Amino acid sequence: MSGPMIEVVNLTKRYDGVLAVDQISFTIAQGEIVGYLGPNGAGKSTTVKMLTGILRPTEGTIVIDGLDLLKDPIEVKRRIGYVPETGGIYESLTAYEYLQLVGRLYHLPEEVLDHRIEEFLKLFGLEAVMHERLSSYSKGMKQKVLLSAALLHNPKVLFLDEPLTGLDAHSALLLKELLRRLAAEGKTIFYCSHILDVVERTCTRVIIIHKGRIVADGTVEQLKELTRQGTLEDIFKQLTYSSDIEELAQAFARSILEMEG
Amino acid sequence: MRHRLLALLERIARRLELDPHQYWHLLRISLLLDFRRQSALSSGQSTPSALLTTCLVYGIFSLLFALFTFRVLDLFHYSLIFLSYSMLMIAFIVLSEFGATIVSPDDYEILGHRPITSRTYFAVKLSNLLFYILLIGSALNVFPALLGAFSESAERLFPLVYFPVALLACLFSAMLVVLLYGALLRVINYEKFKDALVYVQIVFSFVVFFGYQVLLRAMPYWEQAAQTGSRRALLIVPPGWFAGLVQVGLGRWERDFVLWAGWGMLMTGFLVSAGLRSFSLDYSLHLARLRAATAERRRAQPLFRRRIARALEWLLARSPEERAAFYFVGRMLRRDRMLKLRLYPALGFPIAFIGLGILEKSLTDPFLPSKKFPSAAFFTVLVGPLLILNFQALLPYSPEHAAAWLFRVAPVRDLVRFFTGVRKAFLVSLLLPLFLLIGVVLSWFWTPWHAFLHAALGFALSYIFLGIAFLFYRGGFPFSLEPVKMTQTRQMTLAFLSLPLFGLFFFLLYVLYKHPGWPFVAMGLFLLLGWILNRAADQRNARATRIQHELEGGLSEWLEEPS
Repeated sequence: MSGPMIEVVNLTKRYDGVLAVDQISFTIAQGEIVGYLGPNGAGKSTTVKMLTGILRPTEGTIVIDGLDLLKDPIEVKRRIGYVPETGGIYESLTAYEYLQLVGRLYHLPEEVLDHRIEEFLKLFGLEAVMHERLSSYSKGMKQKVLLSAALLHNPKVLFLDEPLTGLDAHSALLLKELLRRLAAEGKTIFYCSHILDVVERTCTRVIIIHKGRIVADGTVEQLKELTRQGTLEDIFKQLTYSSDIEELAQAFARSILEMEG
Repeated sequence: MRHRLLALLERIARRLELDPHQYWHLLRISLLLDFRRQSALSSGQSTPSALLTTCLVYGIFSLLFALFTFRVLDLFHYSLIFLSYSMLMIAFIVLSEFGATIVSPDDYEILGHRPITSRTYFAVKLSNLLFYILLIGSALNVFPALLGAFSESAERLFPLVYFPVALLACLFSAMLVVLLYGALLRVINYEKFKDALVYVQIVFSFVVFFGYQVLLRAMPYWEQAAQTGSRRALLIVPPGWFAGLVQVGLGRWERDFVLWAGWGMLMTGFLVSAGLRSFSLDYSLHLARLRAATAERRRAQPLFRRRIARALEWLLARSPEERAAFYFVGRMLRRDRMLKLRLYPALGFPIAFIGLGILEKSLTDPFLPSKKFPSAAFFTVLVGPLLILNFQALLPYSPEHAAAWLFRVAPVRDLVRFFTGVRKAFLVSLLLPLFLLIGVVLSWFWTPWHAFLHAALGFALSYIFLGIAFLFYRGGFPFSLEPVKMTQTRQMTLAFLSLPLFGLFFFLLYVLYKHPGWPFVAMGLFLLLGWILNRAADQRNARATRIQHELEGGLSEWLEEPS
C-alpha cells in the first residue's frame, strides 16, 4: 500500500476567537473505516467540513490522496464524497433531477449517469418515487438520496456525518454492509457519529474528540485495553464526561415530576 | 462554424476559470428552483407567478408615468427621469430581494464540497440575478421607450437607443449593489454583515423615498441649468451619464453629452471588470467564512427591564394565547432582519415630508386657517397605513418558517385571541411610539396641543386601516411561510395600489380640522370603528387559519413519512 489516503496535521479552527478544533493530527490509510466520535459541540462536524473543503482551517494542512486540499481544492473535491448531517439538498427538485445535477457537476457521461442513478435509486428502493419532488420525501428517503449523491461519482474517500439519521432498520443494515464492501474495495471511509454501537461494529478504528482535541485514537480493542473499560460506550463516557450521567438524569427526571405534582 | 464558435467560447470561459458545463447546469437548476418555489407557494390559488405580477405592475406604473410626461419634457429630461426611476428601483429590488442570491451561505452548504470553482459559482449567482434584472428592467422601460418616440422632438429612433441604454443602466445599478455586498463581506463577519446590510438597506430605502421627492422638485433647476449651459454637475449623477449616452446614440454629439456618455461607459467598465474580478475570485472563500461565523453572544437584558417588559405583557395581553403571540411578534419586530429591512424604510416617509415641509415652508399647522392645503402635515401621518400595508404583506414570511410547526402542534384553543396578540404587538411596538414621536417632532413647529391631536387622529385612522388590512390577510400563522423571491415585492406593490384610499382619509381629516370640537368626536368614532373592524379581522383570521390547518390535514405535513 502506498502513502496514507488522508493526512491531517495540526488542524485548527477558530470561530471569532472560539477554538472549535485544536491542533488535531491523524493519518488514515486506504481502505480504513474510521469512526469519528465526540459529544455535541466537540468539533466533529467542523472537522468534517474542513476535510471536505467547505470550511477553511485557521491553521494546519489536509492532504487527501496526495493532494493538498488548500492548494488544489477542486482536484481533491473530485476524489471525495460527502453526506452532510443536515440540509444539503434542493427540496424543489426530484430525486432524479438532483442526482442528475450532481453527476453533471462531476462531468459524468450522460449514459453512465442515467444508469447509475437508476441503479442507486433501485438499491435504496426509491425507483417508484424518483420523479417526485424531494420536499415530499421523508427524512430517511432524503438521506438515501444524499448517500446516492455521495457515491455517484465513485469517490476514493467518503465522509459521512451521521449517515444513519432517519434510516429504517433495513436501510441501516444495507448501508453498514455497503460500507464494509466499499472499504474492502479500497475506499477510505470517515464516519462521524453519535451512535456508538454502530461505530463499534462497523469501524476498524475509532478517533474520539473532546473539546476540539483528540483524546483517543485506535482500534476498539486497543481502546478497551487502554481504558480498562468493557464497551465503547464506557470508554466514551470515561473520556468525555466529567460528571456522573446517572446522577444528572435522576435530577432531571425529579424536576419534571415535581412540575407535574 | 457553430462548433468553432462554441469551442472558442469554451476556451474563453476556461481562461476565466469558468467551467461552462457546470455553469450551464447550475444556472438552469437555479432558475428552475426559483420558479418551482414560486409555483409551490401559489399552488391551489389562481395567482400568477410573483415575477410576472411584479413586472406587470411595474410596467403599468411606468406606462402611466410616461403618459403624463412624454409630451411635457424634452427627450433628455424624459430619459433622465426614467433612468433615475429604473436605477433606483433596481437597486432597491436587488437590496431587498436578492441579497440571498448573491450572498447566501445556505446554498454553499449543498455545493461547497463539490468541485466547482469560485468563478463558476459566482457567475451562476450573478447570471441568476441578471435574469431577473433584465426582466424587471424591461418592464420598467418598455413603455417609456415606445412613448418617447412620440415625444415633442419625435425621435423615431428613440426606442432602439433608449431601451438598451436603460438595460445597461439597470445592470450598472445592480452591479453597484453587488459590489457593496462584496465590500461589506470583506470587512465583517456574517452576523455583523447581515446587520450592516439591513442598516445600509434601510438608509438606501430612505434615499429612495427622499429621491422621488427630490427628483421631482429638482427638475425645474435642471431645466434651468440646461438652458444656461451649466450641466457639468450631472457628472456625479449616474442616470445623467446614461441620459447622455441616449443623446449620443440619437446623434447629438454635444460636448456635455459625449462627456457624460464616455464617463458612464468608463465607470461601467471599471465596475464590471475590476470590482467583480476580485469579488469572484474569493467568492467561495467568503461564503465559507460566512458559514463559519457564529452568532455574536448578546448580553441578557437587565432584570429590571425584563420585569417591566413582563408586567407590560400581562397588562396588555390577558390570555396566554394573546400573550404568546404578543411576545413572539414583538420580539420578531425587533430581531427579524427581513422584517426590519422591509418595514423600517417606511419610516423615511415622515422624515422626508417633515424635511421637505421645512425646506419648502409648507409644514403649516392644519388647525389654523390657511389658503394652502397643508399637504406635508397629512403626508406625515400616512406612514401609519404604509407600515400596516408592509406589515400585513410580510407577516406570513420568515427565513425561520420551518419552526412554525409549533403553532400547529401547540394546543392553541383561542385563535381569535392569538391574532389579537399579533396586532397588539404591532400597535404597541411600532405604531404607538411612532405617532408619539411624530407628535413630539411636530410640537417644534406647531402648538404642542395641535401636534399631538394631529398625531392622535393619525393613529386612530391607522387603527381603522389595520382592521381593514387584516380583514384581507391570507397568511395564516405569522412567520410560517418560506420567503420566496419577488413574492413580497408583488404583495407590497399590489397593496400600494390601495393608496388612493388614503386620499379619502386626507379629505376627511381636512374637513374635520375646519370645525372645532369635531376632531374629538371623530377620534371616539374612529377608535370604536377601528375596534369593531379589528375584532372582525381577528375572528375572520382565526376561522381562515383553522380551515387552512384542517385542509392541510393537521399535522400530516410535519410527519416524517411522505404525505
